[in-house]
Amino acid sequence: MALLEFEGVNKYFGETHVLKDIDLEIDEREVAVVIGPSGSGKSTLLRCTNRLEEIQSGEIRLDGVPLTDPDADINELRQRIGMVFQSFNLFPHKTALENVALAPRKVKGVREAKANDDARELLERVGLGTQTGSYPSELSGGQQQRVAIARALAMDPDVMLFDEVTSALDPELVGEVLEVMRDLADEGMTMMVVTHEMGFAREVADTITLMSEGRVVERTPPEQFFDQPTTERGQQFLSKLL
Amino acid sequence: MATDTGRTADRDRGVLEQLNDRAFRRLGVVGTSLFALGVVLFIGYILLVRVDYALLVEIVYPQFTFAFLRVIGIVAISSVLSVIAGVIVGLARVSRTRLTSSIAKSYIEFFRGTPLLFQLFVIYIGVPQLWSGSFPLEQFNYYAAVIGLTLNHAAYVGEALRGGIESIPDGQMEASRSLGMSYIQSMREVILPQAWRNSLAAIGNDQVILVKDTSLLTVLAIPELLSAFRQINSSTFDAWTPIVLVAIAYLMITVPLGKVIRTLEERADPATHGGDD
Repeated sequence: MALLEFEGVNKYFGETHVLKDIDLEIDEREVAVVIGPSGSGKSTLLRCTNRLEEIQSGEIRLDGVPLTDPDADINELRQRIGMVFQSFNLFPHKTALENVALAPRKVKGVREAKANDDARELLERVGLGTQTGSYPSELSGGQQQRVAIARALAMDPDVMLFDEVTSALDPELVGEVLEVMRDLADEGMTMMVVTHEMGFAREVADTITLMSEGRVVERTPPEQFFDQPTTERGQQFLSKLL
Repeated sequence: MATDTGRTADRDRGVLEQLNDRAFRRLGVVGTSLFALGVVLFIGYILLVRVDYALLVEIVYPQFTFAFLRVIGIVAISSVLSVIAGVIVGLARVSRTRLTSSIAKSYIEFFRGTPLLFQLFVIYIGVPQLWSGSFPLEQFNYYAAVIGLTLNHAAYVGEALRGGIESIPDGQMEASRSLGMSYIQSMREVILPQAWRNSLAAIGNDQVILVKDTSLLTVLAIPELLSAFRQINSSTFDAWTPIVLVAIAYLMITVPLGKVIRTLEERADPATHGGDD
């Protein structure tokens, strides 16, 4: 059984139909890269996955549990879904360490000393062991985004969602963030990655999901997608990139 | 040739501007000096000629001291209560439950939209009339004073906090919720600390106004500073001795309060720039 399942998902913003009958399965340890032109619904799909947006019909299941059920304990389910945003969204009034340790303390009731130790370890893992006391405003964009990844990992999630996490970064800072993501993938984290970084997609992805106008139009392994896309959409998308 | 003319014109304009600058600055210095001199002369005249120091010593204790302490007591209680109530009003105002937010909105509209003096009368005169027998609370004027100041200023604090909350980017709440924190946890840990900093100046400003609003309590027969002035003025016909005392007494509260607020603002600094550089 897939870890994350989308079944007949439809989403509207007012009159606009932004997600159309999405069926998708993401297996455990899979790195699913979602690409597509802007406005194709890929970020919305991620945001629906942890219910920052509500869907109008269909079902999204995590490990078989329908998380779009109105009765679902959303706070419980969100702990199992880490999310990293394009604009980092670090808490500016807290240090890097406090950003990472906050949710484990408040949500899981981890004691402060333990939460801080874990946070320090996570920051070390993303290469920021010496920046634990810095405030977000004192960090570069790449560093902030790595803190954001550590913050999401602190809840020990089953799946991580990455929403164009390098799009707001200066080009020279993209590499350090992608490297952290690559390490995560190597460690077997299940990841759903919306990105425009085709090099990363080709190298790290297990599957490429191409979205267009709110639909999934192609879903193939990266070698096949980049070398011989099966659909016309895929061919068009690639020809624009090259 | 052409460049020469250009340079001369530049120099001319420069001299003219310098003259203007200097003239303006001089005018400013002279103007403010004259103003300051006038004020000093006036205050000197009041203090040396108008103030009756024998009377001043006589009224400063116990009458003025007690009035002063009474004001401080009422301010302290109303201030704490109005900030607590204001946080509740502000949170209700940003609630996504339509009923809650519209109740908060109506509350703010009423208490900001009618005069505090009128609100004090509603509580002090209106409320006891709702009882058929005699009103159960003794010294109800003090209760009315604290209730009136609290309800009124809670509206201003609430509105200031609403502004502070709405200035926090949506991404903060989203990031917090995506970590599994509840709405209330997110408010308490993430949104309110930042919103508080953003609205601190406005809330502090309102608390200074609260101090001054205690002068209205004279109509509730509370012997505060303005009542003391009126009473002394009517019994001695001396105006300037109590005026000086009243001014000093209010400034002794508002100036340190302003300092405290500024210190709080400065201490809140590290988070004011959440840069993405």
